[in-house]
Amino acid sequence: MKKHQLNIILFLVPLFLLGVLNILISDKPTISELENRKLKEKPPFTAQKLWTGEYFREYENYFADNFIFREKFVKISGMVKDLWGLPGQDKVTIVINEGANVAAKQNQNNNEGETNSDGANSDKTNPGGKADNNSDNSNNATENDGKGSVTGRVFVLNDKAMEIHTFNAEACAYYADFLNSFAEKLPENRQVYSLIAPTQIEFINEPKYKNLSSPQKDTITYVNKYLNSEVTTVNAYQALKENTDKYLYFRSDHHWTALGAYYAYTALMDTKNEKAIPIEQYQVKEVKPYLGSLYSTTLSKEIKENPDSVHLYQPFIKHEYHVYYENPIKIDLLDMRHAKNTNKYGIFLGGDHPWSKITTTQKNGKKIIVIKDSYANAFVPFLLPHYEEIYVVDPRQFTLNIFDFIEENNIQEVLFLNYVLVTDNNGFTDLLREMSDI
Amino acid sequence: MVFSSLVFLYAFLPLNLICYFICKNQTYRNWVLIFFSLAFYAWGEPVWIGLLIVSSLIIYLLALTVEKHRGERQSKVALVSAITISLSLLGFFKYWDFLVHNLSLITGISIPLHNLGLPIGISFFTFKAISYIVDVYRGEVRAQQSFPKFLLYISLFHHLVAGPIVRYKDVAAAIEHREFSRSQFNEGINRFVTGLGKKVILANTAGETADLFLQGDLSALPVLGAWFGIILYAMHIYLDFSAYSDMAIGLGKIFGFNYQENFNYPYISRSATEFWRRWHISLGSFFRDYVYIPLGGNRIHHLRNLFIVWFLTGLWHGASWNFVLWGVYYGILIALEKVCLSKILKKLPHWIAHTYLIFAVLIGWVFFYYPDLQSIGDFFQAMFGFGSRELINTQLKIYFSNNLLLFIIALMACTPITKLIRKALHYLTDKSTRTAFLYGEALLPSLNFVLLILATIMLVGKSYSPFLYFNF
Repeated sequence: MKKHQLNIILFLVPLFLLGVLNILISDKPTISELENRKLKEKPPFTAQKLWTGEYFREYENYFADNFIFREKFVKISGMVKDLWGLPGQDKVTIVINEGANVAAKQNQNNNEGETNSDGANSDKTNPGGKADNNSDNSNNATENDGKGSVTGRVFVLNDKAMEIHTFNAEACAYYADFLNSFAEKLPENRQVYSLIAPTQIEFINEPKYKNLSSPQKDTITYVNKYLNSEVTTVNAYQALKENTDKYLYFRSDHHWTALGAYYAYTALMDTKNEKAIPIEQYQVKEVKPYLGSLYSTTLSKEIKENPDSVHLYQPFIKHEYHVYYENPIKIDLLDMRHAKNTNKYGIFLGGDHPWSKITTTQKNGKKIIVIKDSYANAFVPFLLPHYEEIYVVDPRQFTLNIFDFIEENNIQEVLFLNYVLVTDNNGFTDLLREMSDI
Repeated sequence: MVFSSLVFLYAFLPLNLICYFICKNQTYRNWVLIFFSLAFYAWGEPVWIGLLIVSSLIIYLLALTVEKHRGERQSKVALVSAITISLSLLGFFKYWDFLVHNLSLITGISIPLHNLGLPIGISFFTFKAISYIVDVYRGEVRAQQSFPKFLLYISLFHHLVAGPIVRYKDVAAAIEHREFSRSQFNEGINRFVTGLGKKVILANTAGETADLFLQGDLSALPVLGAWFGIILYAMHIYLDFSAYSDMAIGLGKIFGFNYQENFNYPYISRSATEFWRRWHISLGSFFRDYVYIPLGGNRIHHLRNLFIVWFLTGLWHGASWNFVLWGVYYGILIALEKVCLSKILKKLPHWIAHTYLIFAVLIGWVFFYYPDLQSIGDFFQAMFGFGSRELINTQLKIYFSNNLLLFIIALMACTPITKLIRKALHYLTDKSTRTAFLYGEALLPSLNFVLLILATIMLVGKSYSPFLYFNF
């Protein structure tokens, strides 16, 4: 071999080979189930987009999302990052998740997943400086974000991944204020409940990791203090805390289990002075293995080796369940079509919909509307024995006038059920406010 | 476009190499490079491509005038117009909004902002143009007679968007005539891949980790967190910027150009003066040759000259006061060193001088990082333990132990250790042809290969962005 030939070959061959394979191999996935998102499509070519440079930026993201061997490469890059650390007694990491955008609006502008962190549209006199990142940050941050950061942090402790909560007084007040205004805008004799669900990280036993996340008890108390007497608080915190020895939260997902949701439900019943149905009355089905959203975020080896299972408490009250997009669609309350998907939490209520309605055979005339994030999905099925009609509204997608909606359907009870991280920044509250013109 | 992107590595570069080496004729090769350079430029914002070409054309014509009327008045007029035009463009696009904003703060007069944004690389290509025409005026180099060749110099994508500020006289010969040499191509690969690895594997991670400390709530930042954060940032900014220069120099060699070094291990310096001889050399030497010395250097108005140069050096980095502060800060340090400090430093043990420099540089990066005085002040409070804050917290411990290896490798990459190892290997290999062969023909190529693939994997990995909420 001639001098330097190997070096030149080993440089040029990958460049050309991967370049060509990229073009030739066209049957690549269009959806990444692991990431819970659609992969970027080839941007449509328009003169306007070309001129502003947007076309090229989109193309670059498309190129990366559709790169040959992408899934394998992603996995290896995760393993490489693991190598940077020291082996310790506990396998502990903090993972930054830029896609974690709590309030990611689903309908339009799904720009959050920008992949290109070196903004190509900057003058690089400011090497590696923040100017570089202007292009992608602007997509992530909602404007009046308070002080809270939109980027999520996930704490991994051995085989358990948990979102880190950051107390944000301003955003708490913003949320509480909204609830007050909402209650005020409702006609009298409507009951408003607020249930804020704590998350797993609040209940970990290891004292040395306690201070990573702000105390959620304090956050919930802080919000509750702000609430007027028209809003009744539901103390789910206590009910969960008393049962922390049980399987209340998924280790691989940011949600609670149906059992966790059940204890929150008992708290609602306590508040309303009603009797909760004993958990033993339910038949249980188990679906496993389940690797949820936080596994996707962290790709933790320990979690993968010890996946979750989803316990489904079978409703025993006769009911019909419709989800409303343009037309109502009848589906199962526990939608087993999701059992074979990555995202098995989607079984509960069949995932998030603009709004949905459950009609039961309990002819007691009682009606409730649950305005919620996805924490409510595991919770709502427990309400069946108590209501004739249950409405479920997701502010990320709901487009009707909420007050007219409540009036027209003659709903007496409103339950706001969200997890505590909606108070980390203003994103979710903005959606709630937008939906209610507050 | 940037070098460390998948589109560049797996579409632009292979295409460019094919088109370039398919042509045997030097003129065609130049056209290929011009075409690809303009495409490279257009990838960011095609709007400004006209500006690049027109401003190059003006400088090209004025340089011809400068040369034609050498010694006459027209020559000087052409020079002054060229500099005025270049600086006006830079001033308008980069500093107008800043100027207007400050003017309205002081006087209350409101003049509209242009909101046009900043054409990519304008700070670099205007400086290249100025250095060219001044050199022509000084008779240090002949004016380029062909516009395409001049455009090639200004727009060549290797150094178009992030430097180095290559001088025309260093590449004049190569623009006219380039010989392909396998050993140069080989060196170019080594250099490019080193830069790519530095940028993608080390600089990106160091930068992301630094941001976790520098961007959070500064009132709760533990003391060691502040230090860890700013040290990571210092490593990030050097590795990132020098990696761009490595890649530019490497690409140059692949295509037959030789660019001057832009960095020479700045963090091993023992004074601010030395630091600036090793940091962004092409910028420092630009200000030395075209501002400082013409102003009189150290002969007349020495302090005034230092102030002007460092004010401008700071301002060049961005239209914001914190950059000016950063520049002037170095101006003061260098003035102090000239007056007395360097005499003292020389008498002290090396490690003290070295500690002084590192400390000074870290303080400097605080000015560079935060755009406002409030954050700068808050960060200094964290660094020096003011207020009720912890020394260390759980989060810092976790980040530290999770990134320790990276931290050590990045630290090594900031020093000449790897260079010394390579030198030692060379020395050994000089003695035996067998080890020479093993090193040059097996070890190094495999290492480059691993770096290239690893960098690709990390770049693909960056596109991984899972959503907690269903986002189809």
